[in-house]
Amino acid sequence: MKTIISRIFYLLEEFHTKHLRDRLLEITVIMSLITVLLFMQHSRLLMGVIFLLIPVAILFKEIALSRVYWVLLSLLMTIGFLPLYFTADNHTFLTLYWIFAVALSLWFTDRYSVLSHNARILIGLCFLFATLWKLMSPEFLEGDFFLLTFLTDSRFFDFAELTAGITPELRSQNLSVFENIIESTNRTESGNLQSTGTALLLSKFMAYWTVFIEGWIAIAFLLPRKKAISKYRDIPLIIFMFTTYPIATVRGFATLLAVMGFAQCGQENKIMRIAYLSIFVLIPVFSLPFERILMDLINMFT
Amino acid sequence: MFAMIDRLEYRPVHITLWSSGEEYIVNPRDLLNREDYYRAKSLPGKNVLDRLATDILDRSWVYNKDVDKVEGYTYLRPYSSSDRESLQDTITADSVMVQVYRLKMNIENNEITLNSINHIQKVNNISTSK
Repeated sequence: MKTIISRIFYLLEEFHTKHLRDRLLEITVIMSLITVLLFMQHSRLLMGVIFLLIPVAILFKEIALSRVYWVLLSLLMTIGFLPLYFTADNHTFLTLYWIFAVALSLWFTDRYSVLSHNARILIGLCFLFATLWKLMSPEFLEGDFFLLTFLTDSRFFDFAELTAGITPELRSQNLSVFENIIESTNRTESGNLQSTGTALLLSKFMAYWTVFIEGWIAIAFLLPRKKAISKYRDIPLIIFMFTTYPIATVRGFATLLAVMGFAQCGQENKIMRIAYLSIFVLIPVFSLPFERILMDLINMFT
Repeated sequence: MFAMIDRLEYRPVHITLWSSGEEYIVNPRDLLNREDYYRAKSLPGKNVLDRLATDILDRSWVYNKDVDKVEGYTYLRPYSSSDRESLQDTITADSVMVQVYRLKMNIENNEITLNSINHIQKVNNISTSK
């Protein structure tokens, strides 16, 4: 770990040399490898091979930038992914597309530009489909989805308690009803959950906020770079990451977005590059129970 | 990125099996072929359900009278020829029903319900499905 960190810092110092693009490519590739190693779901079949192949590339630049290595990694990741096709998380699919983008970009003369372009398009398409999917889902727009999530998804319990008054007692009742229904060995087909008026309002607000921010990202990343909205495309993506991942701690997705965000900045946008790199490094912080800390502080002073 | 209540974890698969006039329940998590189970949850088309039902019909099942009866239902486990299981009651199925559900929520009264996506009932190689 120490070696990896010192290597990244060494690479950061090289930012302003004549080989800036190569350095940026190298950092992007290392960030991608770390993401694949830590956050992509791997089948047991290939786990050993992958956990051997990736650290080697992180430590040796020549391997990390080798076309043959990335073609091999793409093939292995695809084979390893097939058994997980029906159960894999969303970000595993996107990570696989990203691995292919890295592998393909290394075959071009201007490798960094090709990778940067692909990162922008992948982010744009990912958010475009996410927005369309939400717009086509009445249960999302009407707030059903978020309300059920607040009431039954453990990742949102602290948030629901802090903002909507879903107490541990309500939560416990709801979980009992919910688990009784979704357990395949039970034959219960309906039940009632306990909620609050604030939870309902918050569910609707969050549904519209999500469509708005994801739609903004899709447009900003897919329109040509010359358009004003495209020039400031990093703003909605960073707002999205800071408003989404501290609540829904999907670290794999957050890390991948930080990598692709970093890659698409291009060599001219230094501030945003540093912002994405900082997010990449600080993503474990997203897992802190902010809502719980806030509730404890409120309790302490009231 | 998520958008819908309907996701794999929220899709119960009810497997009901009949043998000599008795009704039994199979926990899909106990199925030996887990891939078919996950496929039935994600793509519950006729062929997929048919394959799962056929596999269930082709198999022997075992239960323990003392521990596998819960809330009026008897739960079956796949028979794996072990000595421990050979002492228990082993059965084969006359017919099986596989039902795949999705979860719905009514925001007006906070009621959650299961809606059937597809089902198959298979008896001696004769099947009916949507």
